[in-house]
Amino acid sequence: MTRFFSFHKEYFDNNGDQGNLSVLKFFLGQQSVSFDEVSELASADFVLVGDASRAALREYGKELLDLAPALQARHANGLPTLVIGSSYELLASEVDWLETPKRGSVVSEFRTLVTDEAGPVLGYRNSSILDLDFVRSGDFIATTLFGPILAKNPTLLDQMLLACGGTSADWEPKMKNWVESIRELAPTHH
Amino acid sequence: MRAILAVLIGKFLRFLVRLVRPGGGSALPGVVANKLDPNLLSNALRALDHGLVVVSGSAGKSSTTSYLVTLLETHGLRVFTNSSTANIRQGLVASVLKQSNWRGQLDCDIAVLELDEGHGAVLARELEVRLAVLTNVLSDQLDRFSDPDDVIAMLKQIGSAAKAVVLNVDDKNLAQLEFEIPVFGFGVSRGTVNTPKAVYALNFGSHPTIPVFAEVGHGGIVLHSEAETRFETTSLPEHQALNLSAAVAALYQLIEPSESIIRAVLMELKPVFARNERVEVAGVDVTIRLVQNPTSFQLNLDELLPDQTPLMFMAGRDIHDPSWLWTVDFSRVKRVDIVGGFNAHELSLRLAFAGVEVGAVIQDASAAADSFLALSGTGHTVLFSADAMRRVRRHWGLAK
Repeated sequence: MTRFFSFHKEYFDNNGDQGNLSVLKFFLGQQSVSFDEVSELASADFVLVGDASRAALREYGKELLDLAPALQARHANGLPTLVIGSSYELLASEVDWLETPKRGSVVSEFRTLVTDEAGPVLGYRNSSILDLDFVRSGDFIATTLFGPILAKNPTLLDQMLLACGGTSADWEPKMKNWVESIRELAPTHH
Repeated sequence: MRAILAVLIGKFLRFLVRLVRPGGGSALPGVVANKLDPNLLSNALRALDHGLVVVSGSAGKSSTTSYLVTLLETHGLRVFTNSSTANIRQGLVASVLKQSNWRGQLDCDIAVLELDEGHGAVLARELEVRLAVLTNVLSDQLDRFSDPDDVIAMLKQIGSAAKAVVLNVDDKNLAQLEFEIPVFGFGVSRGTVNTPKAVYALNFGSHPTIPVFAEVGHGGIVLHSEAETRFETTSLPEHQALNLSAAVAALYQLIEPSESIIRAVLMELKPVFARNERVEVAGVDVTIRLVQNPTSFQLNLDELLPDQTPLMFMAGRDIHDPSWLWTVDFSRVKRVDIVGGFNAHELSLRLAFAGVEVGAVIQDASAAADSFLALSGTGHTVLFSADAMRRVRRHWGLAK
């Protein structure tokens, strides 16, 4: 059994970040690995902190920062975690265990980032961060790329599935074709 | 002289564009005319006796504008308005070119314009706005506006440029706005939960109480002025009834209307362009529904009936970041026969992970539209984004 924790999933889903859980559940279910929600971060195998509106961050930002020590421990141990979009931006501006990114004006666009461990990673971003779009420590990932990035990045998905006690995804051919078509359309950003 | 030159060149360009692309729109005439005379739009609107009404917000702009135009026209006013696809500066100038004389003058009494939130905030500063109607703030177009906070600020600018504001009191984001001008509210009566409600952008602040002038509830609209007046309406989903209440509230701020005319209009409302609109194409009856953001996609899905098949969903180029498709709950849908448009693969992937069976995936809008008409069934229904809608309407010969 794999347990996941999602920080205020009803509010931290600005751009469909909770879809990453649907994707993991979809494939883990095929592999007969149960994927159940827990209410405490400390007891979770996989953690998702999605992108949120400024209103949600005003309301829950302090609570998120209170989780920083637990997230730091996951970062240090490379445990499977996705911290996305504005949540990543908030944490990166407040903690010293994430490198402080350079800031500029907001750029909204699709990007394909070339990463060491997962190859090209595609996603949409809407961020003032100039560098450090994708920060990784083991299976801990903090990124500006929001939305269902696991659905569109099969290598990264396989790594997360393995980290969650599953095996590589067994894609239906037509779904794989759709993913490839999506990836072909996106520009590469180094 | 400048206006005459701009209008003549603009009208000539419009003529040429429509020769090449019959029924199709183009921004070019509006762009060129605006360049030649940046005051063309404001001068044309300033000359109207009853002034300018602007309608803005995340959703409901087109319906509210359409209802208000109908109400004003039935009261005998000549109304200048724009289509929902022409709600930014060049589109508005193009609308002036279409309807004005060679001096850029409109033969109208009043203008009711739907304005895009972003462009509206800039335009409102240079136009003399008599009344602003603010519909709502949704979590929408985040690739353009970054955050609903920015949309709220834009709507505040639009409202502040007007002499009076009509706003949705149910939306906390709007109710919290402070204006130094008269504010008239519209909203849904408490306890009325017949159809799915709009989901406004997250707001954890307090909800100020604003007096409701026009209220939706129990099959009609109730006006709260000196006396309470009730108007029955045709059957409408709640979000459309809300748009209608906005239009009625606005009407009362503009003229002294006739209750009997309002009653007659409200009982004979026709579907607004592409909002559950029924069309016949090559002998096939088709229902078309425009979806522009998570809320409108969800509301349209929730209104679908089980016998509305075959189904075609289309996601066009206007969806710059398709991530929001993952915030829509597709659990009521079992099968989509055709998925089309530029972002067809994104939408198909989302549907598949939601457990929805996907038939054919056809990126080209025209080819998808043809394949759709060839499917058997009696409840052909299309849900599409604005770009896909424009392409399909043009292909089907429905473009105006």
